[in-house]
Amino acid sequence: MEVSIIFKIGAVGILVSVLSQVLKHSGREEQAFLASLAGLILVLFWILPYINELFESVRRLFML
Amino acid sequence: MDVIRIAVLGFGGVLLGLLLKQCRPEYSFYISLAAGVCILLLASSKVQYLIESIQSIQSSLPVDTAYLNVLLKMIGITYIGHFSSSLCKDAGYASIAAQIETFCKMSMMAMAMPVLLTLLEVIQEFLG
Repeated sequence: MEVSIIFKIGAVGILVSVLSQVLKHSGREEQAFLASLAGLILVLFWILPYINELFESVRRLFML
Repeated sequence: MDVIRIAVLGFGGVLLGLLLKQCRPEYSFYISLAAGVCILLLASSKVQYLIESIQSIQSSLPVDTAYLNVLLKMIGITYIGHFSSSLCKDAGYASIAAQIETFCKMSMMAMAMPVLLTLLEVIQEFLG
């Protein structure tokens, strides 16, 4: 799970950009915006535990 | 051997970030953040070993443990400040990065001040 998150984020990014292009060309601007927003929030939820783990380990290591 | 792994991980992150920079710039920030976090988590075992060896060395030295803790804290603050400010610089926001670095410098000075005061007291004892 360590390294695969980078490629999962890349996959979500590509999928969202393709999806928003398709939605834009079919005339649904709002859905395209909502899709990209949803992709952003999804990736945020994925990455938050990692950031928390990072700051916890640095805090524990350096006795901050 | 794992240096090569880290390098390949970095290259993969950079290539993916470049790919996403045109169509979805916000994801390139996410990818650089994720790559940085992964590389540090892989490196934390080495840092752990370093800190344990420092502590074992320190037990033989007559140095007070407080000074060593201040030193370690400074290293931690430096690392997090540098990590976050360079990430902000990558995303193009140099002003926020500068703010983070200024804050880190001030907090380090604030932490170093007691050590400086004790040094001055020791000097005064010699002279006085």
